Amino acid sequence: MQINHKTYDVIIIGSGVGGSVIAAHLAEKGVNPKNGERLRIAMLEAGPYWKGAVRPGLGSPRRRQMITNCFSDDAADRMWPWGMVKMVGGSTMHYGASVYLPYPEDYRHWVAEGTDWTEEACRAAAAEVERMYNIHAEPDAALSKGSLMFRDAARALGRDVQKALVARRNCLYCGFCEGGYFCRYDSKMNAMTTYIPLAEKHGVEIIPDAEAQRVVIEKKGAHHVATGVIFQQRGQTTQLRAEKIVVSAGVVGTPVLLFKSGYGPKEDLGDKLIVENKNIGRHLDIHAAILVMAWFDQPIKDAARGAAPAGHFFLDDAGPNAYGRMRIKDSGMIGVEEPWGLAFSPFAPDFGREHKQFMKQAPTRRGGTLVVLKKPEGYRGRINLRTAEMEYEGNDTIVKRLREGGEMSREILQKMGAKKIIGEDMPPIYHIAHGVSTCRAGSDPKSSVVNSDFQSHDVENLFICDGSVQPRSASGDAVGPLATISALAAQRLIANHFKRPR
Amino acid sequence: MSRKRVSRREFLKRSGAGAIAVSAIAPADGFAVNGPAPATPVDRHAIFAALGDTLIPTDPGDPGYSSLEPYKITEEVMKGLAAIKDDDLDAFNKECGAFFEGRAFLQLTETQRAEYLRQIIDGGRFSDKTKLRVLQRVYRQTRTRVFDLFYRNYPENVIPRDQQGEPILKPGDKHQITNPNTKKIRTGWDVAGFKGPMTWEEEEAARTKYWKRGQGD
Repeated sequence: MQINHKTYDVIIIGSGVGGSVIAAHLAEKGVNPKNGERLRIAMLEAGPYWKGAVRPGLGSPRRRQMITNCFSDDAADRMWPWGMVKMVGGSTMHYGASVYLPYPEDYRHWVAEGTDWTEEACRAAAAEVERMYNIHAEPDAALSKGSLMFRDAARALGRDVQKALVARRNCLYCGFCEGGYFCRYDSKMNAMTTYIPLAEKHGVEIIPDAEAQRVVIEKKGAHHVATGVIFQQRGQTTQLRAEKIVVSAGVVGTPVLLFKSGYGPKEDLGDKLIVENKNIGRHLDIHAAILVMAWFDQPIKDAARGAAPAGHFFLDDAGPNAYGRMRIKDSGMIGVEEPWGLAFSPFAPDFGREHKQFMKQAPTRRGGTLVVLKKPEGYRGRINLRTAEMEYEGNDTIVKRLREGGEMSREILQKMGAKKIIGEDMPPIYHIAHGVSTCRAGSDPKSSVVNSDFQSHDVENLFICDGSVQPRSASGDAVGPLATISALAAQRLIANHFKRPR
Repeated sequence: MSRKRVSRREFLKRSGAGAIAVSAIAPADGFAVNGPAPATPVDRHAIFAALGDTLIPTDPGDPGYSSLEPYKITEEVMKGLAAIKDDDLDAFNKECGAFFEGRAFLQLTETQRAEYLRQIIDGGRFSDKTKLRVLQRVYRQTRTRVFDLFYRNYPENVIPRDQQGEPILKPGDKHQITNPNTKKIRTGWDVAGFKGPMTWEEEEAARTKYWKRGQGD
């Protein structure tokens, strides 16, 4: 192993939404408290760096070459086994660019879980994310016919329909981002187009293709201290040292990395245990979802392009305090339709001219909704730290609640004039990208891994900032809440550790 | 209770397109009929070509499977169907004799071939259910492979890449355009009206239209 004697003030592991926000803030505003000098920061990323100036709506040459928008396969060999993207920018590179900042109930839930992340405490962070990610609503004129029909039908049925907000700039409305594609035009606001350029501008050293193997945890007296990171880059193993380590490897990557570092549940680590915390990899909270698909006998959207990949949604709570909250969105009415998927649609005839005719109509006539459930508290899964697999069991309450969402969808789709509707009774999908809480924050070390200041309860100089610390799922998708928490983490890291000496 | 693991990409794909295409191509285990090898070699190419033509017919002015035969679509289809055994394919070819006066699938008219496929899907007229499962498996796997390949824009379904897997741009390309679809061949994308990634000219038109409309900033 090569020991690199270069020492940093901070090493950040992971360059997705969490790592990028931390890096940009620390580099711009943090100082070494001992000498007042600018921080020396390295950010490790397991995947490649498609570097280039950010030109929203145009794209940079390298990214335009690498992001082909052809078969969803630009990321095929750049994925973690658990399905998240391995490259600078992380999974913000291929989210759908819908952003929901935390709702008041989300903050209340986080406080109930033992953090001090109140709405007031996060206000500045949320405002920053709204600005950096350019979160906005699209004008009606840019929306698909189906989305407007969904809005009107749901409102007629008494639903409080809102516009889905998007994080884009100078969008060309190609429609691919809804399908999970990268954006070759840099119009999708993600870590690469927001915080990473800021981080680099202020001196952060980005080390791509560097997969962290473990955090070095040393015993010093009665304490355990994080002193560095061992990583592999192009077949070579290297160790770097730092004063502070921030792990931002994601809801699966972070607990797995800590486990490899000897930090985790004793029952999993056995004689490899260095520091015990039984909460690492546990408490997984995750959205459950169903897709309700509909077929219309008239076009409800453009064939491929021209309508904004944005739409409408409404929330439905089963009780006070956002109990059993569902978000029902017009996902099937927006975005590009891939013919190689449509060919196998449940609405498709078996074969022959009927099937071919279907293929000519389907891109404009297939619609539907997405029902996403923020599950009632108490239903938790875990990450298998050896295999990195999600272990989550659903239950009847979840299925019943999603069926209710399916029925609401059916009612709306019927009012819209759908001729066929299916999917409301399908088994739930558990979406790991929206998973949280596997290294949860909280005040009690017995039930959490980090405190509200994102600092490990058990290992000095070790911090965690990514979806794994968020103690409960939010009402919307993952990026908005996570970016908000990350901006809060950056504020607190600076205030507690990297402010100018008096 | 379901324990379903879905990646972000897969989830988004399902959200967008409502179906995943490739999962139905399963290994042959468990369904193949054991028996002596066919007396005469099975003409795999001819059977798959006939099946492809039945699945996606070609009409004047309306391209289908067989209009891509000059680009060797059946050879490409067969690469993904090696798991179908010769004797299973032979059974598929010959079993229709019971319904069509002893004629094999390759000897049927287009209408009769379609009728045979409908009977396989329905299954009601087959008394030997083991054999029916074999026929249904041949049909399903071929359907999956043919639809997937055709509607992925064959033969313009591959972006040339170098040894590092990086897309190779056309000489003189100033804008890193990687859309493989051309106007020279009418493919599955053209049938379905799928345009693929934008050309530079289309991008420029979008910038003019949307940014001027005030939706850019």
